Amino acid sequence: MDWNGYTGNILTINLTSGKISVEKENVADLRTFIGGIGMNCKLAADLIKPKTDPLSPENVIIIGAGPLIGTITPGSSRIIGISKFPATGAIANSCGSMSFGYHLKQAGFDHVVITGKADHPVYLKIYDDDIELCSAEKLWGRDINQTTDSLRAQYGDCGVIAIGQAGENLVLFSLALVDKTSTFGRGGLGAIMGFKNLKAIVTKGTKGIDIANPTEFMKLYEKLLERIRNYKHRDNWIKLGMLRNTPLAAMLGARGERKKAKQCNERTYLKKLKKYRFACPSCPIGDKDLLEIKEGEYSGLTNYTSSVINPFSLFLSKNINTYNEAVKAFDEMSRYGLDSITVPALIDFCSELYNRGILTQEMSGIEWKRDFNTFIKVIEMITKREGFGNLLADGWKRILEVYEDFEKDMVVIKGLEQVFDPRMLRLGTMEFEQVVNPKGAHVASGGSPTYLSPGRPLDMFTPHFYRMGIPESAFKRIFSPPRKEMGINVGRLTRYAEDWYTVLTSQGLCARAQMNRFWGLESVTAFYNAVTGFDLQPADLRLAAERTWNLLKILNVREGFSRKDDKFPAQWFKPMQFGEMKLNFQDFYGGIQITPEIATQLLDDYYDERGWDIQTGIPTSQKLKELGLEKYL
Amino acid sequence: MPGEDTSKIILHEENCTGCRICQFICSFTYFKKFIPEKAHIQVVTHKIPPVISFRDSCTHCLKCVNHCLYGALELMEGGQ
Ligand code: SF4
Ligand code: SF4
Ligand code: SF4
Repeated sequence: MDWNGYTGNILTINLTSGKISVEKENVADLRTFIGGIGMNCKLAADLIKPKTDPLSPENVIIIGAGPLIGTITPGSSRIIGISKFPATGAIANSCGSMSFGYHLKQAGFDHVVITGKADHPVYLKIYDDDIELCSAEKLWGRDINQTTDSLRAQYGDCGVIAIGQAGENLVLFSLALVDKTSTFGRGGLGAIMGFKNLKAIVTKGTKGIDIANPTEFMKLYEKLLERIRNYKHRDNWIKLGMLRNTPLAAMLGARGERKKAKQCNERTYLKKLKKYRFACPSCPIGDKDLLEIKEGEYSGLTNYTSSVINPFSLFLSKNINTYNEAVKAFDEMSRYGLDSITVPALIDFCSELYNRGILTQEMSGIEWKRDFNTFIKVIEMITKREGFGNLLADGWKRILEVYEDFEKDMVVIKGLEQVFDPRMLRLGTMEFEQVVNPKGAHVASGGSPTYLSPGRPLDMFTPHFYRMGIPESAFKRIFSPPRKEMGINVGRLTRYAEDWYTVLTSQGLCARAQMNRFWGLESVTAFYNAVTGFDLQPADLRLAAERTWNLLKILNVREGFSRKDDKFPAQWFKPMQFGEMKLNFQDFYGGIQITPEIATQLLDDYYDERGWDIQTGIPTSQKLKELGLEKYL
Repeated sequence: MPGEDTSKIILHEENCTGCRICQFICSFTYFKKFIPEKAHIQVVTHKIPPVISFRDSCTHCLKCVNHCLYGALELMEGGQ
């Protein structure tokens, strides 16, 4: 058969034996489990045995690049990785952007499957048909930037997934970076690669991607490009990226941290930090940042990041006071491959224990001051697993075993700390999704019109519902919240947010707001058909997305997860106090305080909307039958 | 090296994001597939700013200029 969009190839590498093999994808599978995330989940179900130790040769890393990747389709560069993650014990997906997917597809592969464990440090080279495990002895011990730069000095333009010292030292919340820019694998992909002695994957491709229906494709593309060209906020997005709509400054202001709020803005970014704007392959609204510290002790330091809001988020830490400190600390974590959300949360936790006299200087080897130097010191301690850093490097699950009395004080869900606090941002689908995502607190798959716009008028939802392909029959239920004043039922809506995310991720499309807004279920289907030659209806794509999400859930049911793990953090129900001001856990419109009863109802509604058992939070046998997934549970 | 005709295209490499849209459109026009490696325009994207060059085979059709949305490729006035 002719492969269009898809390359049709799955590359498997066994690091233990060194065996490299290529298999053809099964077309029937591609109809059932579409693209990157769909086939990733299917491969994971086949290859990751239940109860596998995440840090064992048996754990598998699967990287998928959807059918639109490697083409000119706007924003089609998003890869997806699945594995069993050590920070949480969950089998979860994680996305990354930049050029890895582009090169992998151009080299002729849709998926890479990595099993086993090498007996010495290696990197995997995928250069068209030249596939090789190469010695990484010289790269071991070096940070992500050094590793990536060194590989690029050798291979020129290429996509690189690399880990730093945190991954090598098996820090359970270490991650990898794609092209030293995009985080990949929150929850411990760094440690999984480190355990496998896999320092990096480098890929470069020159084979090209065929299109089933070029005329139809170009028609669709030109039409979409015109819309993007004429989008009135496009220039502003390119100028500011995600800084355009981040609530950070408002959050800092609300906390009374005016000095920081004043730095967290456009002026600082443009005048003091921005060095260069770059983009993923095929993206017409690029927002990747090269930052540079321009004055002071760290003058000349440059940092590649998927957005300036990543370092700016560190302003929320009491240890960070200036933008230069934020960039320096963020850069340090990036190079080592540490999760920049986890580290400040751990510092908050330890500082609190220290203040209460539970953690002493003798015990931890460090005086927990709320300053920059302490932040940097903790980064080092964790990365190198020095002293108390050795415990911190094991992540929340282990820490809360040692300090079990504090579990109620922590905003940790299934082993990952929260990303968005609904007391700051109210309860939208992203905030809610942190509770139900199989991976643990994760926001990316909860995107919907509630994103960063608390109080958005209700009538603005319906057009987006049509765009996301939510069936009309669900509208009434979504507009029926537990209390009338809430306007919207975020539990029910979250189901469709996840499905929409899955549709985009199956193709390899960027889900960021500025790209997401141009896509709808119908246009994604039209592109998919024109590129691949399949003849699907929008409803088919939607059903495949639902099937994929259910399979992801089942993989985690097999690991023992159920409703008991989808827990609203107790802290959310207590007000956040800043001086005189209190922030409560409120609904999206701010009219209702969310009580444990309302939260429970929303959770029931989420399961109900998914067709899962409300008591257990597990897909019912009827649902599995309907989706053809019986054999997986 | 720029071909004779492409000298009518002014490069503003400092605006180039490395998106490769120019290479995608060029290769699709001439090879009916997305194969940037073969495009008549080449962009080294891991350099800041990216390095843009034209192959002698460039036909000066200006498709890349029309599709670059970042202002990195510009047609010199009177250059058509
Ligand atoms: S919006 Fe950003 S993340 Fe998305 S494709 Fe463009 S550059 Fe990549
Ligand atoms: S020249 Fe334009 S289209 Fe080509 S890579 Fe640079 S910004 Fe993209
Ligand atoms: S002018 Fe035409 S042939 Fe030359 S590089 Fe641009 S698109 Fe290709």
